[in-house]
Amino acid sequence: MSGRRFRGEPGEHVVWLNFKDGQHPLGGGAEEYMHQVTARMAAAGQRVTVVTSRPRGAARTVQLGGVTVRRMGNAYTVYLRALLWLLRHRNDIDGIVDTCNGIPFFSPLAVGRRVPVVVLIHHVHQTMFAQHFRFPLAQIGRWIERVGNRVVYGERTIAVVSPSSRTEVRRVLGLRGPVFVSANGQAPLTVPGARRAEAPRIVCVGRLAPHKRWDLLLRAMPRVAELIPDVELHLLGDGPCRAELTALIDELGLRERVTLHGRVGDEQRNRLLASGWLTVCTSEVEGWGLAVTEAMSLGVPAVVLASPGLRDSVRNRLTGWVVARPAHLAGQLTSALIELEDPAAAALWARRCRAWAGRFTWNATADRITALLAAEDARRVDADRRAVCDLSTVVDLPVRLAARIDFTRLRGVDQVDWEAGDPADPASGRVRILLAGFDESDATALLQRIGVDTDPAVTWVWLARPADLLGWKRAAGPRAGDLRPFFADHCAAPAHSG
Amino acid sequence: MRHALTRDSIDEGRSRTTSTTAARTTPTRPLLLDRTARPPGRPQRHTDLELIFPVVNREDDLPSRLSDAAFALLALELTVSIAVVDGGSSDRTVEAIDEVAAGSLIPIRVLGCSIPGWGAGALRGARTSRARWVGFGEPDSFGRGTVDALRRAAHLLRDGTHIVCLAAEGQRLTVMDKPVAELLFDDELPDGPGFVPTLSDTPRHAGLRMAAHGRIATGAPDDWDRTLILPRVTT
Repeated sequence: MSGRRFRGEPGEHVVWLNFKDGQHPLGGGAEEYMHQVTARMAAAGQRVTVVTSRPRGAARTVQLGGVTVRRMGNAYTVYLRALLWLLRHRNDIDGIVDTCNGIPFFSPLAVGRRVPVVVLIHHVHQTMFAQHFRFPLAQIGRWIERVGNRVVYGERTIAVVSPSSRTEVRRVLGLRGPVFVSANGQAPLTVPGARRAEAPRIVCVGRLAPHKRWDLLLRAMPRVAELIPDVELHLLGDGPCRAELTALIDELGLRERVTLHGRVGDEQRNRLLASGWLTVCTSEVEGWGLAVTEAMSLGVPAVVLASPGLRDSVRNRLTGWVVARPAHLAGQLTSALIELEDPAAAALWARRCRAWAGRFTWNATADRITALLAAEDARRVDADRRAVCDLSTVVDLPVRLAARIDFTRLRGVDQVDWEAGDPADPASGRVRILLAGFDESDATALLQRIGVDTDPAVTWVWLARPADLLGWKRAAGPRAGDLRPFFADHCAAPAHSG
Repeated sequence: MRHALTRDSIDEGRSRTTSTTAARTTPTRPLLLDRTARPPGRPQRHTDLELIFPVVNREDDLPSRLSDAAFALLALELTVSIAVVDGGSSDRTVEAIDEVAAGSLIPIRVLGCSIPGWGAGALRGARTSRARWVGFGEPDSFGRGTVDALRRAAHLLRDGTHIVCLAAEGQRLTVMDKPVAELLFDDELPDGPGFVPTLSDTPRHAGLRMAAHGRIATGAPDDWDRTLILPRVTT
């Protein structure tokens, strides 16, 4: 086995495989993810090459934010051409992020075990093959995603964007490698001078597409209006269902109450969103639910159906309400709007929403992906004999104890987060560590090994829930050498001494 | 690229918390709500029997079965608790257990076990239990027969039996003294619900008494309870 290739240091060459890039006509969330992360990798001094398909008229090679984008082949042939490109350049590559948009690039076939490969899966596409392709292409696609993935990637590290995606990757695809959540980031939204509307207002952002099920929301509105007569609904976005939804609005007599804005500019969209009391998402499937977390960053809580992705982006009864069945939607909307009528209650909800949404940054995502690549490289060189386990454990300890921990001795797959303490007593802040693959007993043993007090009155250890897997600030491991002095400094001096 | 480690960055939360006097006095708790709260610690109460259920990926059926089991156990004249040991679920099993626990009159705790296998989960449950007796099985089809059998098992355990293997109404449960469970599992991990420990004829297992109790049908109009004393294995 060759030596280490990727440690997340400047000069290392990372190749990101994705069948579209941001300038592709069909580019979407996965491409935003790729560009945000690769731009940060390039800013950190790494050489980053994006290998992607080439839509008609697009340049073969462009530089975007320090990242080299190489376009080759169409949506079908890009896979073979990318493999050939990897084969030619395999000695010059230090790490690969292989995005599986239904069909992965099977990069291990070109680079073998000599280069660390992290598979990035935004969501599982098994049902979508049947929606977009006919026999036999749909069956072939599903087989490749399910069986091909398992055979070619083996036990390589898998990155997913949400705990729901992790469940699908295990349950539907049956992948065996360790699965880690690397959530989407988002730019914080601000609307200077924004005020919420006087009347109870629901503002929703999203395509008017069938899977968004806006009809469920429209059908709930008459019942909501029975108790809240001045309720209004604003739908921002366009799509193939616009005519159908317009007809439904007429049929339900909601013309005075519902406004379809169509596509609007970012500024207008944010202003309207910030004026809402509530946002709603009735989608059946979402990879993450970006529209919901964007609303939260403006302090607007959400009511969502309990579908994959949305259950992760909304913390039930803390940043919104997760509704188990569509039949409960009207009742939940009504009670939520009544609760939000109280400005103090609304302010508390807004504060929690902003805090939750503020946890999702692209810096954290880029740090996580880099750390996962480095950890995969470490596994490649020195195999981890522990059985793969999807448990994680949260350790919550005072900052003074965290200041004693050498975070470089933890693994790159572990994560760190911190909370401010009492302004008059900076040492009262708390630090949390997420130990992947560990149960409470393993975590306690680790703390004892590194000399941390495990008295339950001081250090709290518990099994991570799905929401605990999201929103961490930093990865631990060899690249986290600056955390210890940071926490020590935080203990030593009052933060607001001036 | 990484999260900036500046004084401002650690004070991000603070700038939000200092707006009110109340927030200043309890600065960390309100904002910690944006992450899951620390589960409450276990109460220091005496428990006669703790049932331990090792599970993996049971998000869909576990909540209803656990609720049924907890409800059925209310009829038992013992202080009872339930421990669910998650063996590495990738779904929302733990979250689902939390929801059942929040509405249950029987204490339900959840813990993890990173070592694969039903037996490793059972051992983890036994080691962390504070009960006098521990029972191992599946939370499926808990009915009146199971509760009757547990009542009978408690009677046998009080009378000096150390291990009781139950098989009431298809339910497979093994109940034993907690120290005995730890002793036995140190030698050999159980292979699944309904296991019958192997008591070898060695000094380590000297004095241990095991009974099997069940309800059998022999063609008679009514079933009847029967307790068999299981033999010791000579090694």
